[in-house]
Amino acid sequence: MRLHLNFGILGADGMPLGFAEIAARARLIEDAGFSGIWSGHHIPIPGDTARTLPDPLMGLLIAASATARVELGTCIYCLGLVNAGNFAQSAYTLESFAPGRVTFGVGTGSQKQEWDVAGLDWSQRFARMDESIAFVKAMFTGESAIEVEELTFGDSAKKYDRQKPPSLGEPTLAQKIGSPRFLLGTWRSPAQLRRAATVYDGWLGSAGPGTLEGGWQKVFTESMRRFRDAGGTRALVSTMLVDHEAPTTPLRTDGTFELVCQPAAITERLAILDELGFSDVILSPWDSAAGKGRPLTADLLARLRALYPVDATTACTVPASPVPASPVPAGPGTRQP
Amino acid sequence: MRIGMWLPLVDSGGALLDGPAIARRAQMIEEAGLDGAWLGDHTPIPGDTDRDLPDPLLYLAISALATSPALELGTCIYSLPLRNKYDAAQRFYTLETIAKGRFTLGLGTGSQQVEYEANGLDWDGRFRRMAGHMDGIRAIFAGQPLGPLYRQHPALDDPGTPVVIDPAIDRGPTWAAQVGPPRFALGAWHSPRQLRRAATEYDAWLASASPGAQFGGWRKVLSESIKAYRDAGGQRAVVCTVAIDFWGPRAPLTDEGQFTLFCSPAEAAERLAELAALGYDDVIVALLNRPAGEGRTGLARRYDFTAEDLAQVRALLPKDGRDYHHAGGSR
Repeated sequence: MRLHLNFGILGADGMPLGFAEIAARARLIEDAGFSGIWSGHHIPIPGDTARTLPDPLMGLLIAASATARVELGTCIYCLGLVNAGNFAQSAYTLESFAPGRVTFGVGTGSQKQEWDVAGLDWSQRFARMDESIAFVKAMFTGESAIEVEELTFGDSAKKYDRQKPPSLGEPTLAQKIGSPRFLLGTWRSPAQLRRAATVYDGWLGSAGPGTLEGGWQKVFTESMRRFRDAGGTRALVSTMLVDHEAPTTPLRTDGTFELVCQPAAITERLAILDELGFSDVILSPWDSAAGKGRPLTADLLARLRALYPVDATTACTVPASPVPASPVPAGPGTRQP
Repeated sequence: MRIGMWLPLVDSGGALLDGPAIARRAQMIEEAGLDGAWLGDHTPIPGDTDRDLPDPLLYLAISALATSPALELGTCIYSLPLRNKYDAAQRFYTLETIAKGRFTLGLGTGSQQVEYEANGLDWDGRFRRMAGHMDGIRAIFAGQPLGPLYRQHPALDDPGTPVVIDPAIDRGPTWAAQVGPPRFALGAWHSPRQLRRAATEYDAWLASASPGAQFGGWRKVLSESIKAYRDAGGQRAVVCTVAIDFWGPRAPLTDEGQFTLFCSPAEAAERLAELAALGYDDVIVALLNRPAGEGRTGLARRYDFTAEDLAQVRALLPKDGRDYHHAGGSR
């Protein structure tokens, strides 16, 4: 089982990191032997300090330029909240900067207010996700029901003559670059787990809230079985708070899964995840006493990395699934009110 | 008049540029003494090779890492209404965080109806949507709530039930408010209302060298528009994007047509002097058909440049000593 790190995007002063600090942090993580660098995502809301986070894609871009080996991913990017074409553009641009290393964990997001302020219908979030990923995947296959047109620049003589641009038939930029991997972030819904197995390149399970109903043991076991039964291969779990300085309290099977305990107990608990079939776990160093993230230092990273045997395999050589998502987008598939 | 240069998308062999190559191109633009590195934007559509540009903000971020604050970095123009406004705001303040003061984001509705259709958006409502987006983005930078804020714990049994947060505890300056906005420029052709908006609500105006000229030719449009912009108090007028082709057949510059530099470098210098005489502060140029772009279509025609090409471009105008920061922060 590979260990990854959610690299955090804020400095000790609570402000987003500048590029030199992001690059230095990324190098620290790679040098410590972790398999990947991951970042979360929330859409900002005016005046809301908790949601005014930096754009994770910029952070991963800088991490890409500072490292050579590690996987770079989001856990999770709220795809349903953004314009799918815009996201696809960022996805292939990032992939072109770090070929084979980019993995987008995507999901609906779990915050209704972020949908409300975007003018989107929270009750339609799963349907919108399906449309969005279909649009994004179509960008990489080049196939959709949208009739493309020449650039018209407002020239009414050319507008909507449905003239095929002479370039049609050539591969697009997205097709030349190739697709990054896409994982579906989902808690325990059977339908979503089936999608993760068949439409996406894997399942990004939730360590915390997703295991509340019935406890982690039941949820992880049943979800993994459903995912495997549907043909799923790669299962990751994110984001796991880890605090090796906290006292160990028993891990109740009917509660959430956590790594807030002494080092020996962390090792035992990681082995449980490994045995359950997770191929990757994404950690986030946490200081429970202070109630905030622990500053990433070489010493801390070395300690955490030493808690579990190194898995020398990499996901970076695994190509993205060629399976297109259906339906083939005809637009409007990604409406933003 | 300052000169900004489009970043190339592909090398001279037509291969895509990777991160280090983009960074190098930005450095070359700076080394040549040009004033800025710029990039346009279209929202991609599956299978459409005309619109598949890279994400300009990621290209500019890479360019910022490789160059000094002397080089301005901008979009000309970013199709704002095609995005989620808060997603766009997040990208903008993240750029400002990683390289403060470097970015001038030229924003506009975009001119392609099919891009709106593909995204399920109403083309006729684009100006209203643009204004609403800017209100939302400015609210993000102001750090002021537009309504009640909620803290929704994802572990709640009913994730649709938000919990009202306590303003006394939770409210403080957001990071976006602390970082502050980049400069915003409005892309507008010749609409008096848009030009007034550019002068009063934005830090600069991006005029169009070619498409906008269909409304009576470049000389009429660019002369009348800059007068309207200055009359409204506008501070910085930028012409974008002027296509350069020193190698192809000469295209005469007629008042009724578009403004191009499809001519020799000596003639191009004369043409640019006319723009400067009209009062424009900046021109953004892009090289076409270099060296083997003949017959290529759409955006694939923008080929790579060499240091010699950039030196030729630099020599078209005397160096403008003004710093691009003069426009100040966003209104």
